[in-house]
Amino acid sequence: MAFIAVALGTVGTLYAAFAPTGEASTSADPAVQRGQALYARGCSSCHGLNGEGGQRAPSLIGVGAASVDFQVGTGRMPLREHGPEAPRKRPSYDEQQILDLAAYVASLGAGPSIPSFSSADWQKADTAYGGALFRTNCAQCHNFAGSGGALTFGKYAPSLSKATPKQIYEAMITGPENMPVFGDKEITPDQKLAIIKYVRTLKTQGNPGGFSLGQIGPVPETMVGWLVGIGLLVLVTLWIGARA
Amino acid sequence: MSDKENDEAPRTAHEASGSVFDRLKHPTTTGGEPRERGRTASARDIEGEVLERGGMAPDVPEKVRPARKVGRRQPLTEKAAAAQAAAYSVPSDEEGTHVVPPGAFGVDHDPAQVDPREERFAEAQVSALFALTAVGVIVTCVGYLVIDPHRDLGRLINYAIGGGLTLALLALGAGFCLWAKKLLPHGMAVQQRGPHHSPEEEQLASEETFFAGVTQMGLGSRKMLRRSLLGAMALLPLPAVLLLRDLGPLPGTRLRHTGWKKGSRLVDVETKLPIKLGDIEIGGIATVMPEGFGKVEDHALAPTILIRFAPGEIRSKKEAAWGANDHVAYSKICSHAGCPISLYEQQTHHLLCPCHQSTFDMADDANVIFGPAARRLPQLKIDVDADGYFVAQGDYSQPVGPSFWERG
Repeated sequence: MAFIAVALGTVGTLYAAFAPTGEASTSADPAVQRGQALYARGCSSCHGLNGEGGQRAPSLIGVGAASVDFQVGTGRMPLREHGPEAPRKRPSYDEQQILDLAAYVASLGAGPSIPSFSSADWQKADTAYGGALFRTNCAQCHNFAGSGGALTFGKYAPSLSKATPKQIYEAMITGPENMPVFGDKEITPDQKLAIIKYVRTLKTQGNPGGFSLGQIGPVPETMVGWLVGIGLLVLVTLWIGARA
Repeated sequence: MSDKENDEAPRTAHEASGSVFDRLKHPTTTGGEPRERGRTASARDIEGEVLERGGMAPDVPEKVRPARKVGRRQPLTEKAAAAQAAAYSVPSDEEGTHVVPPGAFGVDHDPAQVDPREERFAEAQVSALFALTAVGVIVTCVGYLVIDPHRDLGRLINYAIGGGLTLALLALGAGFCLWAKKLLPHGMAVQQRGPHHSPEEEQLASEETFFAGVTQMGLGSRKMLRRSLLGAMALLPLPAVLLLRDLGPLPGTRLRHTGWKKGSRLVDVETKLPIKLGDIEIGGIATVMPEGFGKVEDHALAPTILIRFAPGEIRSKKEAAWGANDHVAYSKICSHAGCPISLYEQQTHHLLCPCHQSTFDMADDANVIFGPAARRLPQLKIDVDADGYFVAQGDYSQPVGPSFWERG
């Protein structure tokens, strides 16, 4: 009897010592602890108490801080509703909260960390080289002018006009949603900065041709040509032919 | 009984309206009496009535020209109006031409009914438009000379030249239109049209000459001449056919070969650096070409997409066997119309062609799951060499890209 009591006691103590609790963090880092509190309230209902994922959401173990910074920083997470694509919206957390969340998720498993570079770093990159890289690797989905475009079954590649340089970088190294991952060995950090320079230049330089019509290619241009251009011609023709 | 059979005409209105076919066979009036075919609620009757009302020749519509008086056109004098009406009411000749008596268009406008202020106003409008043309021309020239073409990405000079020329041409055209509408007389002009064929004597003379010539040549009797002529004529189109060769070199077997060889390293199309195992992250892609390729244009069939899957994601056994370490290489040229495809979705493994939305399931050996493509994308057999670089195990096993006539 005494033996059983001792055995039970030992097992219970061991269990208490080693079992994952999902509450008390082992990390002493205050950012991780704050992040865990935020995570438990805002994210755990879908991603699981320990980031293990669930029926409705993927696991966050190993996605890294960059992924959290991108998803929460662009407002895509927390998700408003389930659908083919998570739209960009106003972030629900402030900058410090996002960093805390990122620190917590990064503590779950190794992954890409938030890139740190100054605006001087990308501003001195080569725009033309970035443009060549962009057209090879990005333009097929995000359009030559970064305006985005349709994918299959309701998904779409978003416009890059609102993306900050850091978010563009993070998207390349984490591959959010259906975007392929472009690791540092495939597109080097310098090349990434060149791509960022190109995307930002697109945004700031404007359109030399006048009306850009959203820069989404030949469809709106043709539509405007037919409806507005030919419509005007028809009206003028009617006016010429009308008897005074 | 026999009477009834011979007489096919319906006896009663009910019988007549029995079926559509009966009614077609035996048209009746509403009273049930047999009716002459082809003279229903007659168009001719209506026409006659209209013409009677209008008091005009049969082929002239009642109103030659609607007498709308919206603009500032001067009304015709009574005399002129009568002369014009008389001119239009002359019946046409056999050829359908209206012969208008001379002087019919020397119509006088009634100066008493013209408002000179309106006419002056119209003149001023037209002159103002022509002045705008001059302004547009000056804007164009000054813009071209003064504006720095590099300023604002050339936008400013574009606006100046394009806007100036647009203004000039639009105002010129509008000026002419207004001139015609407001200041020119609005009579209807009828142009006489003569017969388009030659006089009959000329036709007969030509025929005679032709047949006389044929007889004198003796095509019927001189057999050798006839045969040599026919032979020469038959050969004549040959140069035209032969010259088609200059449309371009024959494709030969080039459509079946892409430039990939056994042992070619896969190099990035932009950086031209060979790709090593581990360079591409899980869920990543790269566009690759055979090492040492020259211009992309010369290797139009070679572009290949290299995809890395997570372990266990590839569902096709053949696909996994032809790949290496969860990496697979497929032709980037769509099997439908030859567009380059790389809209890759890393979660669903769909590859979408931007031209016609053909969608390939890359985890299932590029199976077509949507769109007009008729075939899977061809897969390139790859391997990893001793240094850890990806290499091709040979060329594609089938022609890449869209179908062609001799593809088989």
